[in-house]
Amino acid sequence: MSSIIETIENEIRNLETAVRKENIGHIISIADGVARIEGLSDVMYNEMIEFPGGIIGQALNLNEGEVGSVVFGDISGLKEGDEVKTTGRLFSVPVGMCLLGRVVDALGNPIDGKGPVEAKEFFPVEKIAPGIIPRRSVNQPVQTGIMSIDSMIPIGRGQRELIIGDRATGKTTIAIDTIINQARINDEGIASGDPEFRPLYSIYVAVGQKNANVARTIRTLEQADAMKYTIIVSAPAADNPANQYIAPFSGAAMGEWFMSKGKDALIVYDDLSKQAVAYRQISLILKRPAGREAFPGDVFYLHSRLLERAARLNEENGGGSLTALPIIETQAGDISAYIPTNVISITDGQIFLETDLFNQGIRPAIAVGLSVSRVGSSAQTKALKKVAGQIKLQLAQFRELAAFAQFGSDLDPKTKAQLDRGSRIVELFKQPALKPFSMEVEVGIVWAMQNDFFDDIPLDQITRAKLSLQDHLQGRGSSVLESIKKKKELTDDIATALRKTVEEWKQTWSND
Amino acid sequence: MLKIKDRRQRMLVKRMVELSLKDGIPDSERVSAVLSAVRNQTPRSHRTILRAYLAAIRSLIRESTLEVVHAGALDSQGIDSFRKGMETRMNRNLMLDSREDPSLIAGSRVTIGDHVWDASLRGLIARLID
Repeated sequence: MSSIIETIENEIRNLETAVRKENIGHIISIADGVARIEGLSDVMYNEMIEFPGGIIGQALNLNEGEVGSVVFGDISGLKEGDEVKTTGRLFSVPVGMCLLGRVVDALGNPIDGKGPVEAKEFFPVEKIAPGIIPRRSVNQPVQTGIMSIDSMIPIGRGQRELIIGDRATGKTTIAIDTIINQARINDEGIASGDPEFRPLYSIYVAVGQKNANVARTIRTLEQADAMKYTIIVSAPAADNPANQYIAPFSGAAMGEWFMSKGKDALIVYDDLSKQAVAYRQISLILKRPAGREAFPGDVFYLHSRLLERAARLNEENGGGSLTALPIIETQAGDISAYIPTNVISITDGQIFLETDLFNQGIRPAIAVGLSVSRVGSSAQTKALKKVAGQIKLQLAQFRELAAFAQFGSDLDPKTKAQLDRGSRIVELFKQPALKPFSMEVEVGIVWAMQNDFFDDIPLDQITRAKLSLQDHLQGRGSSVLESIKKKKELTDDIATALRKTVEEWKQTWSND
Repeated sequence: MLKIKDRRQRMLVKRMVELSLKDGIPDSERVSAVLSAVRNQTPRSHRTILRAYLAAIRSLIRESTLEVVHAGALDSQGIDSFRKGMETRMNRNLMLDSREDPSLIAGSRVTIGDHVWDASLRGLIARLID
């Protein structure tokens, strides 16, 4: 018994005599979320720095005798001369399933009033992206539920697809629709008990947005019952620029956790233009040389190292994936500005949204000619690939012909037919926000279009006809939809059954 | 540290600092001699050079000073042998600055430049609170 007491006494004695070595510095100046610190001779690049009051920062500039650091959180309590310490650790955020359904700030602290996050693991926000060997090519689709995207610009798990456009053109809506559609697919997949079903978890990173907009997004996701599969990382416009700069990296760390566990995740960065602006502000205060549009020289690296973290891993590495949907806001449709061109060149394709199309009532306002998915049809189910193969070309030809048709009244029958088909496809692809279609319904509708079932329906009736066909497919044609969903391809038998169902619908359809 | 853009001025400050050291530590006599020489020659940007010189010497003094803050009284022999031990460890000469600070409660806190070894009870309590 006495030996036990001695052991504990020794432990206490050791604790009391323990000497802690620290590397310290003192704040020289602090402003706009950036501190200049004298000392900290042992600090490493990107190392976490501890400020008084539990506030943390990250070393970004290592100069002779001076360190430039961003400070996360409230800097109002810090002053010149305050002592700061190195920690020897990289800045990390909590990760895991416990974050699903939660709204956190850029540091991973909960801000939804639902109590603390019970995280067992932490991941560093800055991590080298997976290399070539652990990756595999993208082969599984991310169903956005938006017919025009799924059929013409398919997105695969592990892909990086940019959503780009002016303000108020529906960029966020596409991302939110995708998250909601994933939640629906997850619910159905889990309920089906299919052991091979892989749910797709979503992370929505809001950077530099108004708090009201973030609150609206959360409400929309809650109403659609999608929050249970979603994490929201919020660094609103009121946050300091350091938080806005780090928030996408925090979200990426949370997404990487899912990927490392062999799960699939989708991350939306809304938006990277504002992150670049926050980074420019930090860099200018740190007195880094300014380049084009006053952005620092490493703004390309800022986005490339973030987006490279989206990947599809091979089976030996768990087979997980992280799909990225970065959003970029353009000014007056100028996609040749610095940040848009950078991100276009980094990503595997872009969905370009046009203000003119939006104002014409074509929503989602996707400019087909400028939008592309470089992964292509390998991220499509066989069924959708079969029916949607020619649509993008037809629509692009239609836009070109429509522009020429304005100059002349006499058109040959072939051109007229192309224009007619194009305008029907445009009408067919109009889709209200928050109303995603399932893959099998998309296949049914696009198949009907390609097989001329919409040709004798007036243009202004197409939307109504589409919804009517959807109802019919989900009602009397549910068995056909079930077969498409199960087999994921359009075999001859299924095509025959689908034709029969659509013909039945056509007999019941009336144009008035 | 004050930055000087002109290379020649930077080299001059560097040379002034080198001449001010004795056994790796800034020496008051040498500093006076350097200042007097600079005063006689009055180089261009005199004030800027002196400011940079001051910043460099201040930084050197901080890095060459062994600051020992202790809660209770310590005998001078013990402190001196501790200084020698630290000199061996740091592989350079150190100036000793020892003082008593009861706010440490117990133990001591040693500082050389921006390295701190904290073995005080106050530090321990602070760590426990963290």
